[in-house]
Amino acid sequence: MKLSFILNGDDVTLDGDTRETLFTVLRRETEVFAEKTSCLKGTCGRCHVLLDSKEVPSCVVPFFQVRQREVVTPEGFRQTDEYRKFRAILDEEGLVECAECTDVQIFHLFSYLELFPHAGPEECRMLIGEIPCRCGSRPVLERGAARWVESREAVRAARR
Amino acid sequence: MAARKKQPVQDPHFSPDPDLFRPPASKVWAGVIVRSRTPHARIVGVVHPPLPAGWALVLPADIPGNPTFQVFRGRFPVLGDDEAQYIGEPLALVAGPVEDEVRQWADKVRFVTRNLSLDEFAEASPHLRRKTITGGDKAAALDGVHGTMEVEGVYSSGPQDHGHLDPVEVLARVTPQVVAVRIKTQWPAHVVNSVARVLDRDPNEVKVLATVSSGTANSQVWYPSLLAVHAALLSRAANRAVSLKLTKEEEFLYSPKRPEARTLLRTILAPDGRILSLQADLVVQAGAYGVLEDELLDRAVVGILAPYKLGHFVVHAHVETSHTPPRGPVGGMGEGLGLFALESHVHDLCRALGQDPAQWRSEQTLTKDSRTFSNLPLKADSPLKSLVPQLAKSSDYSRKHAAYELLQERIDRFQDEALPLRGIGLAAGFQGNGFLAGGTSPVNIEGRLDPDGRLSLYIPIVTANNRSVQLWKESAAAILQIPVDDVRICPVFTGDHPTGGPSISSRAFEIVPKLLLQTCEGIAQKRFRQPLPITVRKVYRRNKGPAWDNDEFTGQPFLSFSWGAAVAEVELVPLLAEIRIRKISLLVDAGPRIDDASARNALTEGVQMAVGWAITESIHWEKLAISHESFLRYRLPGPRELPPLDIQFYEGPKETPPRGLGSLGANVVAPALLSAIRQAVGPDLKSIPVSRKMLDEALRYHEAFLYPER
Amino acid sequence: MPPGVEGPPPLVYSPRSLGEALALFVPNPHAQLFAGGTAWQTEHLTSSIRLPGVTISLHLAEDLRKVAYGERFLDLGGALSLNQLLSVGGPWVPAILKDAARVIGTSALRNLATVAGNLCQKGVLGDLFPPLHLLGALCEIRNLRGSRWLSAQQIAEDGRVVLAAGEILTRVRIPQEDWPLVFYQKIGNIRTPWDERLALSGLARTKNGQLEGFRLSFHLPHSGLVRIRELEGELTGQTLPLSHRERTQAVDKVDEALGLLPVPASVFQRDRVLHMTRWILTRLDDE
Repeated sequence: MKLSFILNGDDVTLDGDTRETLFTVLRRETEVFAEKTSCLKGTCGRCHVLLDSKEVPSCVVPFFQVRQREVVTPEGFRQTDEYRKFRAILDEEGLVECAECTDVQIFHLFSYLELFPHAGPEECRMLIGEIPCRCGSRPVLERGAARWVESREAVRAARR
Repeated sequence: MAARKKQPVQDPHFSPDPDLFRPPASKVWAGVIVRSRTPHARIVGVVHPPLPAGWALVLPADIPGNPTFQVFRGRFPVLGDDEAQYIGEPLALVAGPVEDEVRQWADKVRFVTRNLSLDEFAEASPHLRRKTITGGDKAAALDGVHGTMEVEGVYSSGPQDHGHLDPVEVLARVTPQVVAVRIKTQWPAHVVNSVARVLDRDPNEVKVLATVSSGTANSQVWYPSLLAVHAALLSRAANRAVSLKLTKEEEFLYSPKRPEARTLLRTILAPDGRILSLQADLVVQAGAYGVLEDELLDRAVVGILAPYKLGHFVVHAHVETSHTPPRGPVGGMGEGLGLFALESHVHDLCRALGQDPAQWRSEQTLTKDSRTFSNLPLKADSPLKSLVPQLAKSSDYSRKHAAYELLQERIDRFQDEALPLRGIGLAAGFQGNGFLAGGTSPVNIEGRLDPDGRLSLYIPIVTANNRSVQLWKESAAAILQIPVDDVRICPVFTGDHPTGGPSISSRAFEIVPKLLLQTCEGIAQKRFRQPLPITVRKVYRRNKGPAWDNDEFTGQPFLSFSWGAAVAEVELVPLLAEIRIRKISLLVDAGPRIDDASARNALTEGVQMAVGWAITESIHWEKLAISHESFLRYRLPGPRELPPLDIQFYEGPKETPPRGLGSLGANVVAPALLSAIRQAVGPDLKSIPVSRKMLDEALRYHEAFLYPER
Repeated sequence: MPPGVEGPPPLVYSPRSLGEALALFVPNPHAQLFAGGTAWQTEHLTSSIRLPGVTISLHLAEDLRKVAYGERFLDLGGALSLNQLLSVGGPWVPAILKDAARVIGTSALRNLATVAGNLCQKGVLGDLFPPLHLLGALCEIRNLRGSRWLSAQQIAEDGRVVLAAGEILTRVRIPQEDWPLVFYQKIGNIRTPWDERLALSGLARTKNGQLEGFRLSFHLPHSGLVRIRELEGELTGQTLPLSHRERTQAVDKVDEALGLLPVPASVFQRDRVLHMTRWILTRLDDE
């Protein structure tokens, strides 16, 4: 089964089976998630993608559901201005990069805050906790998320 | 098997072809480990379905070199040959083109075995290792026979998984010219040595690309090297690149865990609180083979003996081995086990004495001109003498502790739901930097200034810490007055020295900056006098100090100590039978900080490790194997358990070098948490993790007062 | 073909509307519905999805994702994701339903999990079912021949809506009632041992110092939902605050109900349910 969709801004056609998840196909057919594993239960956050701007765990999404839709992976998100801005805030707050979760967390936070732009600090704390990791970046991520919310609110206010 | 005497040397000019470490996926086969299904059995034979054409099967007899895997003084078979010692022990390896098919085939392999008694240990396995350490002043123990008090308690801590998101994945490619290994590891030198030894290859032919690990608390240390050996054996047999990936379940069930420990502490106290005599019986569970048992056990003992003045002490310590997977240095190298027991015991001492725990610690910690447990004179007061009172003051510990103690005395406190069930705990301790048993552990750095003005630095430390890397570059650039962008941190493909230790935080923070400085200054001196390229190598070897004697327990145990104290405040939520951590405060003396953010990050990791160890992470054994239920239920601390952190640094003399602090957070926060929980819930909790069921039981006991009609 | 999976790939249809979906049942009367797909992932630690011969995926059916606000009812489309429920639903979505939705899975999973899917699969702790039960919600189930309504009370105690072949749960209708006092506590998720999981839901309204309305249920994994209507009836109309005796009797009634469960509650579950009940009762005059 060949399906066409948009992957990180590019039109692609990938070959997969109806029984395969998006994660499996991306891993096999592209460089995406090449060196990542997944819990296969949608709970670890490592395989998250944006599917039509909604963050989903690709290890749970069937490949057949992406036809003519748009998929953005953390690798693709890294190229965006939003990533750079968010990352700049986190760097200012003292982020020590974690090879396992930093990109995932930024992706996760950004996606959620697009959907719930008025999320408060407690909500952000719970959100960050959804990606379990041993690293020590949570306090920085919490502060960074709060600043991101403020900055987005300022942008919206300026537009009004 | 030829003896290999050549030592690996740094090979910074090795430029691999791009395919060597990242071959196309179509050319990589999948490797799977075939594991023992019994905890202890004699292996008589193996039965398996026909091996598909071209697949590779590796049995112990196929190992070309030394069939044992070595970690410091510990050793065990790369593949169980004569006997299987635990469920999950690797017995064979198989590789084929498609992972799922290889796994299905591996599931059908059966080893013909004869079960052995679970009480017997094969000759190759270490027996129960015991040691007794005595010291101090025997006469002091007899001082003040009248008015002394005896306090006794048994303190237990459970196992803990490393908890990293990604299971280990190794890619190996063995050719006649080179053995290439790509792996996430803190210890590339160990990978080189292990692979060379088992494959009977020259270590110079083994090239390791160590991909970044995360954080300074990466706890797997030696385990990736074992998997590298397995992958290399498969690649050799299959004559192609092989990727060996553990499933998450496989890794959880069989990778090394923090050892369980149980300590009986019995102290005799003078009325003023001095410890006249301390007796400890410490048991550490090391699993099969007792890997790193020397280091773990001795450090646990140091954890008990180091912080406070002791009249006389006797420590009976032993490592239990068992037919379960080997344990490892998760969350620290062992002193945390002893510190947990000691600090939990201090909680009991202070209750018995009716003394403020902060005051007790401040008074009983070592002072200038006293001698350490290893009989070294101290030239200055122990840092705890300053840290404890300062932290107690800034966290308002003493007032809150007294208030919650008064609350404890109100047996009717559970009748008034408006009264919060709170507790506050304090603990102090240290992190030992460097290895007790690790020998000289040299580290070297090479720098090369090229004619194009670019500086290449070969630093055999594997880190994901972007800030450290950036600081290294900036320091180098400043010394040589070149743009930061012209400084490259280059991969080191062979590690540096056969006994070079893993990339633990002490190395990254203590040794590398100093060596880097020397390397760059060396280049600066030669620049403009010698033609380019200029190469300078600097080697760090451990300072000579009083040598550590593992048997007598004398001398200088570590490169250095980092000291810390922690205060934890908790509240019991009866509705949910849950502990909410209100705040954790840390005050740390680890020397000047090269990078504040990195230091805070490392301490935060340690705190999280402690919270998991103390509360959320539990592992249960069923018939000598980790239960499947444990795998499904294992939970790292979530946002409800991770409180606001107040991390402060003690600003001491700037002349002292920076020291590591990767496991300091875990070492001091875990006992502080238990102490706080005990004050909130009840004194009988002396083991971690504290589960919901334990809290429920404590609540039920108290609710007997609340609802006597029930 | 994905490794480890045999046989021809299943046929998957992706209709763009409810009408198209129902029409697909004609040639495929036993086709299986696929919404968010989050239920299967907790059961299968595998990289491939085990689908039956014919599957109807509802991910493109926009008319099943609508939210309709009326004076008396709020209608939630069956294929509405839980995050859409939380974001699009706005103030009309009852607080207790939001509290329950918010603690289901992770945010990313909630972008996939659907309202109908949550009701048709056995969740960790009934998830949306207990609050919907208390709210008196109705489920519309349609097939080619027409529709039927199922009240939450008609749903089995384990909280699962069982659809017959050819049926789709198209919307959940929630009466618009005012419940100022909301209680929802859930202990446990997929990582929690079964004997430590429970959920407790409560709704109350007061007027002139009296308890005008009161609903209470608890949900245990093996026993499903338990609602003590006798207790609700006894307490409704009582003057607030409740006396110690009244509270004690109420808790005793809950304890009795726990004792009658076919699968006994664990000690932990019992303790928590009783404690939560006491906690709710002491807060009834807090409006």
